[in-house]
Amino acid sequence: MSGRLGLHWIALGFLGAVLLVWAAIFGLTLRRAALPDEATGKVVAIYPFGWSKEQSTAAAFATEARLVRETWLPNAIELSSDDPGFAERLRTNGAIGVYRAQPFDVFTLAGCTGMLPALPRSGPQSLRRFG
Amino acid sequence: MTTSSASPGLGWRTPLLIIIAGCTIALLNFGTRAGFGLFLEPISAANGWGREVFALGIAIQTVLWGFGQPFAGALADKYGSGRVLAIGGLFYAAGVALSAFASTPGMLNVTLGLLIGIGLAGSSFTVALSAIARMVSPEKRSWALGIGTAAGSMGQFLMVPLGQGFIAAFGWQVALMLLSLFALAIIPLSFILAGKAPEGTGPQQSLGEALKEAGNQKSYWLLISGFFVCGFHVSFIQTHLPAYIVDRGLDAGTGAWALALVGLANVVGSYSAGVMGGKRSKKYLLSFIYGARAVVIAIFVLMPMTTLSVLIFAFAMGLLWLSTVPLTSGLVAQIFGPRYMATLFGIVFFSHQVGGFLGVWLGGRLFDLTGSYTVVWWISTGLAVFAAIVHWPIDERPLVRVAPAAAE
Repeated sequence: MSGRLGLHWIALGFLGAVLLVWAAIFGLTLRRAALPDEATGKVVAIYPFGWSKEQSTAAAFATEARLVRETWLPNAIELSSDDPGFAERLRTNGAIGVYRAQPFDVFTLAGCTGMLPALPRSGPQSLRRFG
Repeated sequence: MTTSSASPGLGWRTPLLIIIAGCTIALLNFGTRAGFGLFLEPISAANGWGREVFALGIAIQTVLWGFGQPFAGALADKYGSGRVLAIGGLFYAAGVALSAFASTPGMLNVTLGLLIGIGLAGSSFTVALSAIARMVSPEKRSWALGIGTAAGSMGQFLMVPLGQGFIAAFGWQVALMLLSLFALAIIPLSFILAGKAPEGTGPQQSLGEALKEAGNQKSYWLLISGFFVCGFHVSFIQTHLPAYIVDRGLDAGTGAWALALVGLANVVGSYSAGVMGGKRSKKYLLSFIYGARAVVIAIFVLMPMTTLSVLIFAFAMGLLWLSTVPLTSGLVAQIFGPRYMATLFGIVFFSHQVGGFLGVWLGGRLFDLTGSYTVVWWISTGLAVFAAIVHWPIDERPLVRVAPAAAE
């Protein structure tokens, strides 16, 4: 029994070590990816975890940003503005992270199997418009 | 884990070190590849190509990965796992890094397709799992194969957001260079898995004789047939599920959560299957897994689709996702011994890739013909029942080989 438990501890230890390394690299990457205060254009604003879609949207609109699209996370919205200081305004209004918008969505992820992503028959047919 | 449970003659390479190295290789091999879809748009946009250029490169890669698997396994069995893993890692890293500079479709086919395809086959978790199976004691083997598969699954889950972060922080070209470093890390790790089965251990037979022996075993063909179904399911679902969900009226976000949930549950399922395989009959566990897939898919298709039903389906399928891998690879090692496992499991894995190709292709083709995925879902259910049945009669006892008569 103790031998079996020992094996599970090894598995948990490996998982923990991997998650620690991953979190460190991912954290550094996010820091590097954060946009400077003066940034404009299409961005993704991340609001605190636990914020509802309504809360996030209200905070975003307080900056007079244009909504590009909602994402599959309630606290992340893709927005756009050409006014200088856009990223700073988003942060002042509650965003914990502001990043350049990426052309990525669930259908691209599905394409990671090595085949072309399968697009739904209904709705828009551009990859950029899902997510 | 004590060092006494290791195969003899491993020296400084303790079982713990071997398992950590094998798991990390599986994680890097699977994980790095999982993020390639992120580069579809940036590479296509930067070069002014349509999506089909990138898709062709990925298709070449997938075919070479599948075809190369048995050959990589044979080379690993003949010359040692470490060499094949290291050379595979080198091809893999070169392919990923050079993809950043491909400015013509031909160059992309060579880098993203040819080099990475060869690299994936050489540094694959099939070779890594076979090395682990050979180097740990039989009683720990199923657990080790389970943790190795879970590590590969975890790589898929973790590397996609990381790849996305790299693109956001550094641009897609530097992101590819950074991902190539992960592939490059396979090379030093491969030294820990170096070597092949020592002479005098296992059956005294050549690779050709081992292949002939396996080919004459009904159980081997049943394993190949069953694993084909696994490939069909996972590729079809991963590629077409988000589109299916949107077509049934739910939002794309549900599709994303579903795929994330599949990935998460997959880690738990793979590990648990490995643990269970060490205690129970592997063939019955495989029958149960495929039978459960049939039930889960049938309920999903028959029930009205809601966000909750999608998430329950995703979690259940995630648990059953790659849980077949430690059991199938474990059965190959159990029946035929670990001596030529890389080759024999490589062939079984090739069948998985053929099933995967058909799952993706047939899903799209039948959708175009019928206007819905319903037919493919029912084909998937039928195939799951078929796989549950074919695993039942497998003879999982180790092959008894008659020693050649001594010369008079």
